[in-house]
Amino acid sequence: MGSFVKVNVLTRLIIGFSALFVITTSVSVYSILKLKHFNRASVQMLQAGDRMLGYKDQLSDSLLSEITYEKKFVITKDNMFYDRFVEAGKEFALSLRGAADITDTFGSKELLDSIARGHARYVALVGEERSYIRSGKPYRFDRYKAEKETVVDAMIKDIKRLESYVASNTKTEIEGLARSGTGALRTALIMALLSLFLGVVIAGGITHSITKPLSVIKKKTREIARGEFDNPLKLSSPPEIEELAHALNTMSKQLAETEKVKSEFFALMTHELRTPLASMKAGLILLQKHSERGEHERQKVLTIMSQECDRLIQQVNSLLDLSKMEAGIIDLDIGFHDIKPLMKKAIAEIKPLSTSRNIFFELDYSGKISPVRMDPERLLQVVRNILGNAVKFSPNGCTIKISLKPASGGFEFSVTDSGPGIPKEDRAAIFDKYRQAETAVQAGAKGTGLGLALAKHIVDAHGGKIWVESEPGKGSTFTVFLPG
Amino acid sequence: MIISVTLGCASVQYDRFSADLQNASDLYAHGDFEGSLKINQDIVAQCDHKAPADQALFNMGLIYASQNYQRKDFKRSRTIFQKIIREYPQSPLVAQSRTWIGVLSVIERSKEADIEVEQTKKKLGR
Repeated sequence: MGSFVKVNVLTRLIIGFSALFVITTSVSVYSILKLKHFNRASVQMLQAGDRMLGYKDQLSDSLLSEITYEKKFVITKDNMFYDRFVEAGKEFALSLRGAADITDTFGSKELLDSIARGHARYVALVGEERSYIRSGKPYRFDRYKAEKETVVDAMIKDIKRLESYVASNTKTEIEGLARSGTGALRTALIMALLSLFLGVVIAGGITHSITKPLSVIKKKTREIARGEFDNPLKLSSPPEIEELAHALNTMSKQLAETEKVKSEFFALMTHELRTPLASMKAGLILLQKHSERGEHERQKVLTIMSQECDRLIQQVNSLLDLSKMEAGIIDLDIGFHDIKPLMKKAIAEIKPLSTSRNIFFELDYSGKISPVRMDPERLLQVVRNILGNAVKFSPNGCTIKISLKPASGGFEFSVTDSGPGIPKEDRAAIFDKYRQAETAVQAGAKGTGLGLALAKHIVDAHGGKIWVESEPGKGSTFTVFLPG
Repeated sequence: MIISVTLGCASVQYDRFSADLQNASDLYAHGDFEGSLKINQDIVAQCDHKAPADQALFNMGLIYASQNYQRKDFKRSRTIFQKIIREYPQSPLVAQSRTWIGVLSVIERSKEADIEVEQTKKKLGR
């Protein structure tokens, strides 16, 4: 039973159909063999009966010939008739031996012995009479005639009884065959019913073993559709279903994670959107209540409100860009551009923030970088994002290394920070939307989780590649490759 | 003298019936068994145990034994031949009559044997 659990659906079906085939074939073969046996037995029985009746007819004919020739010999005293009598006697003896050879019952053997004895007596009487005739001596003709008639009558009765015996024996054998046939029919019927039952059990069992786990999977998919991701499926048989269940569990787990990430993202986005809005509302209240404040103060509040407004717009734009990227409806303004000015611009933009935290950049531009095909605005977004993350996650007073060098078929630029690093299991996930590494969450870094997802989409759209190398506690290196 | 007279008488009598005998023989040859039988019977009646009564009796025996005679009667034929032997012991036809009696006897016993065989056949169901 344990090994059957590992049997796949196709093998189960083959086993099931083979079992049904074997059962059906067994019943058919049994029936055919029995029919063959009955046919053979019937033919043999009828042939034996026919042969015995044939010998009986031969005995009758030979005896009649003997009687005829014997009578004619006694009347005419012609030896020719005696010779014919002897010939007929030989034929009679031959038929008697033939009948004795095929008889297999005590009754018929006894009858044949009796006929043989009677015949011997009849031949002896005719022989004695012949001696008298040849010698010409008078003899008791009537006594011989009467004795011969007695012997012949007894033989005739025995021959008639032999016929009746053969008929009776054939009838008995037919009755035996009929009884045997009824028994075989009963056995065949029982076998047919058993095979039908077994067939139903096997077919039902195999169908059940396939459909039951499918029903469980169907039920589970409905649970998933309702958002119930707990209680993973535990199906181990058949192997295909086990694989399906495993895939469904994986999908369920991923859906649960996505659901969780989405919830976190919405919470984060809500917070990220509410913070600048709250800040702007606070600024407006301040301006309303303290309208008597000086121009300088008002300008300061308006500047803050404007920055918060920009931050809001930037976040909404990022979200919109990502949606467009995913939908494949964003247009890139591709052309041949130099990457270095782009890098410088990004560094210049982040410099006020990095300087305030005593973070410095170490640049390494080695080799000649030819202009490459790119959308400079989009690629600037990528560089800004990577640099921003590096500054965000690096501790105060550290150095961020920026490298730009030619690579096979294009160029690479990489940014190495001194942040908390990214665990191995998060390295692929950080490029998914709404995802941040666990270490980033622990570090309390704020972010929507859209930046790297957006960067990956942009790099992919350029035919390039983005990846990260990291060691927890020792920082991370983000590398972008763009084709030349 | 008596013998010569007797032979003479017989000869005279034979001559007297020779035409009738010839007539009877002709009728027999032409298949008129009844006519031949009647002439022979008349001769026997007229001859009174004298020749050619033995010849006429012999002829009658042959007629009753004839295969083509519708009223053939082997028993009667045999009786006639036995009468010749018994009543005309000196007749030259005695030897032939004995032969005929033997033949008719074999035929009759053969018929009986055939009947017996037929009965046996019936018993055997053949």
